[in-house]
Amino acid sequence: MTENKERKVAIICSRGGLDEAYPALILANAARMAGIDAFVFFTFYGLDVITESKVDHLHVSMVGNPTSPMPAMIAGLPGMSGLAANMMKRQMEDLDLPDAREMLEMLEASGARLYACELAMDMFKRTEKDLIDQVDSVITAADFYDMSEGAQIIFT
Amino acid sequence: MTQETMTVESERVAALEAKIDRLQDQLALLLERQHRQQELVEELGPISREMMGVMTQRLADLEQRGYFEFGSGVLGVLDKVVTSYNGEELEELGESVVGILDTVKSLTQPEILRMAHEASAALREADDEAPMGPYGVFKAASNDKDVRRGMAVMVSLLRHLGKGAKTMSNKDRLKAVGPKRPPRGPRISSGAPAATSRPSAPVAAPAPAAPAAAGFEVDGVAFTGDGFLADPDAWTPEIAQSIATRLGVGQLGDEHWKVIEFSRGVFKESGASPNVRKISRGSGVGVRDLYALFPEKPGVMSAQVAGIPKPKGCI
Repeated sequence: MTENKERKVAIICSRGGLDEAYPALILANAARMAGIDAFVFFTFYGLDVITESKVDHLHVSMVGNPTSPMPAMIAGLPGMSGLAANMMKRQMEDLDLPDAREMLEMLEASGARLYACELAMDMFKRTEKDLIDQVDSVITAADFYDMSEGAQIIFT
Repeated sequence: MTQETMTVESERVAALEAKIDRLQDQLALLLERQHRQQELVEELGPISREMMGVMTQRLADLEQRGYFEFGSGVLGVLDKVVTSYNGEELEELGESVVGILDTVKSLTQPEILRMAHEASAALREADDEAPMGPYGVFKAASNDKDVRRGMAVMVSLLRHLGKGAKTMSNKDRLKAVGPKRPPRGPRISSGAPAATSRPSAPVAAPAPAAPAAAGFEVDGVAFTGDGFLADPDAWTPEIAQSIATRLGVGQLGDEHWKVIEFSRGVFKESGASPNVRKISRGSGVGVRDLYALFPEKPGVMSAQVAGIPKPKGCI
């Protein structure tokens, strides 16, 4: 247990799809459960994951996804990403996986810290009020490097 | 009457003369040919002598330019190649020589040679082909039977190549690692006494801390290598407290016991240890409190104290 005391991971979540957000959230949670200090930096479309109005409506895009079982021609039709997202949510429920909001709540409770990217906030015209309560603060890329000193950085 | 005979005779004579003339021509031809043959035989002697001379000269030239040295050098290399094989590999080589010969044989079949010839002809003519866009490729692939057959051949060729590459890389990997590698045991907590037994077979990288699947005992209680109670039925509250003390959890309080009882209940019911999320929902102790009660690793530590196996899953 003591061997992980100094270990730290900094996870960058740059994508806002349901399938794209989970790896970051699960890795952060698993790090905490293994006694590793963890923080997550949400930037660009990853900002959607910590945006109050979006977190419950994250979508899965099957377009340009080579591993999707859906033919590209059909994947581009309207409503398909919503359908795919619903299918994925149902599968996650079957596996007893918490939804994104609950994952974020668990992360905060476990002591992981969540940060939003300042530049992305400006780009998408969002204020701190738009973000979920679990977010620690809004930081810049330079702050990110200061905070991640000595940490292993994971980009998702 | 005699006049008539005379004319007939003279006509015959003329015909005969003409025949003789032709014969003479042929005779002259024959004579000339014979003469030439004689000349040839006469000439051949010196020519063959000359030829021998030239050949000797050539060989000497080659010698001077180092061709033979190169040849003997090649022989040396071959020698080295052969000696670098061990007996087993030589045996394998012997077996594959048959295969190599088969390959050479099938390569030299007239059909294959014709194919190669046609392919090289196509390459020669390739300059004349108009550039082809994606649509052209698509059209050729859907309309031209020969192209489609060629594609099938390519695919099957690729399949075999892939198979070959896979077996080769497997072979290399086996050679590099040695016969069999024992599975690496899970890491054990540093608070626990280190196991002394090490795997006997060679391991590529030294495992960190103590690589032990073997369990250990504390005060006569058996634990698995990664610090979980070996027999969940052997659990008593006293054992729980001793584990908690050893892990640095400290004195177990009411909240701890809530978690422990809930976890043991879930395990008895389902045979699986609950994860953090399940504990927080079922026991009434929140995630934040769980992290405080069992510092650092709530899922793992609560299971250790509750004397049940390590919880599975990532949540």
